[in-house]
Amino acid sequence: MAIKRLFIANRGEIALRIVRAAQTLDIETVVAVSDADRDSAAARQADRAVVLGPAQAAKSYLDPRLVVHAAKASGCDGLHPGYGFLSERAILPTLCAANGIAFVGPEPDVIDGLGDKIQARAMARAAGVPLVPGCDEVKTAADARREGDRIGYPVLLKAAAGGGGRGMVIANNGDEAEAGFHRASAEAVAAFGDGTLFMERFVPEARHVEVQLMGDGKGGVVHFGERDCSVQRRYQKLIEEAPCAAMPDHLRQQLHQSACALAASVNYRNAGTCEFLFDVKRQEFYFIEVNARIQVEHPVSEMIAGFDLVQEQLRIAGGAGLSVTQDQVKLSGHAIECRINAEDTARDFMPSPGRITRWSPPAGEGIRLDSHMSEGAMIPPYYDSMIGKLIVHAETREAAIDRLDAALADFTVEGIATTIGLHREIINHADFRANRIHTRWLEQVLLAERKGAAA
Amino acid sequence: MIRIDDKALAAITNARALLDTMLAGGWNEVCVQGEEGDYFLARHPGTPNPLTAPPAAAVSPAAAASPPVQAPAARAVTAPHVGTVVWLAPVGTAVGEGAAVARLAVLDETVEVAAPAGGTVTGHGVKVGDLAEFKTELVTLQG
Repeated sequence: MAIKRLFIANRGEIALRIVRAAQTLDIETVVAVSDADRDSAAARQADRAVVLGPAQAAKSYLDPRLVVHAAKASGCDGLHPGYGFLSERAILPTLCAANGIAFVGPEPDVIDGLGDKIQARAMARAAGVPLVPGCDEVKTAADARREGDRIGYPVLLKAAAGGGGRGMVIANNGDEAEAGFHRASAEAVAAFGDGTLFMERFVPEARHVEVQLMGDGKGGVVHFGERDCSVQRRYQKLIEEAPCAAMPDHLRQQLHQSACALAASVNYRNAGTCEFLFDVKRQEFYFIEVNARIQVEHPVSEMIAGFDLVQEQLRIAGGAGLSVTQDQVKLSGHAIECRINAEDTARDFMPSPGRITRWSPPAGEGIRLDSHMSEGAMIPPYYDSMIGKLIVHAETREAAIDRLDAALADFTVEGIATTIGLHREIINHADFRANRIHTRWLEQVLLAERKGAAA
Repeated sequence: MIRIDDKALAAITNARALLDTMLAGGWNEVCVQGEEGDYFLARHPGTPNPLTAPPAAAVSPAAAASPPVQAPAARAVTAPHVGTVVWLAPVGTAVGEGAAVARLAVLDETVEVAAPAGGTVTGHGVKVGDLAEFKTELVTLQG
């Protein structure tokens, strides 16, 4: 049964994005808000807003019982969780099912399975998806050398028993693997009472590449190409592109096939992303994890595919099959997205909440802005600091960068600090233009250069 | 609807300045007590945290003997979170502090909403069966 009235259990730009997608499909909308978001753009755009609780997310957006009760009591027959908050908590689809509400996402057991790192790796292995070469049990120095030789250097050695970076050693050759074993193993004994180590290949300069998937829940899966999200700071993505221009076609096909095989093996339903580490030097990719939800960076895939992923999510959750076959998905051109955050990059990215006194966004051919902001809007201090996503599309990567630079230059925001200036620095950096970046490039190169220049 | 007036903007500016000072001065703890909540932060080793300190000694009999003078006032009891109204204390009911004045259903659970002070129920802001949102007035208490 197609969804008639949708509950949107999220805030910010994605809540507005979902409201608009639903309205295009003639679905009524009820948006959940906290006390701080009563006057949000999504609340104004939706047919109705329901105030769940106070500003603190734990007492509003993060309480699955309040969310599902509000959905049910407001007569909704569908619920979209957005990203973040409760989007990957199995309790939400479980409560939805118990209350006759269609959840826009995978089944609870699929969320749980994919959310567990060990289970997810096992599922990936079973589906034939490449994992980072490694060894779970290294018991002696001789083991360390033998496994290191087999895996290929550099390798990372760490305690099998504990988490975190404790006793972590990177070895570049057999001698270092043996010496590293003695050091890391002694630390592991001291910390966990067990000297067994875990070893895996260390990729010093990796790219983050991910495949956009859509499944019908019956084994049917299509992909919408891949994204390259290698510009990151502290594991947070800042810029995403589609496609990954650094990946050769034959590898790209294998990447897509791997992601689709994994999703099909669990009868994946709805939008999802399969994330990989891409070792450019070795020309190999390894599975990281699956994000069982729509992602922040989905617009770059929409731009190259000319396809609305959120609308497709809503149709599938309403019981429809996939509206396109793989052959019908045509990818063209290059798209880049910048996450614009209310942060002060000169002060270690300190959040900069407050009132926007001037908001003058760029517009034009190939420019898209997903934002809930406007002049006079208030950025509450309780949530993440993203104020919008600027996305451009053009024929080539180079043309897209030029278009993005012009759009960023044309983007005026006053009253708060933003990352717009940093984005211009990034995309005009010689390394970014030449596509020589990796996941630690922003911190190790650009931000380090910035610090050097400031000193 | 939250209105951000000049006073609120000034408060935000002050809070920012306070945080900046803390970051610059190596502070890691400061104590702030307000209507919305209590925050304790102080420079190490700092003073003991008053928020986790044992409760103050019982009020002495002499102090307890003089009850505070209070003018009867109307007070709205509001919903602490979203929920469907399943019961309201009838108008005219006298309740003591902490007594239930309303019940809200959240899925299959019922949550009691207690009177913040003693008084008489003089009105209802909602009907049984309504979906009460956060801060919706449930009942009015007088006195």
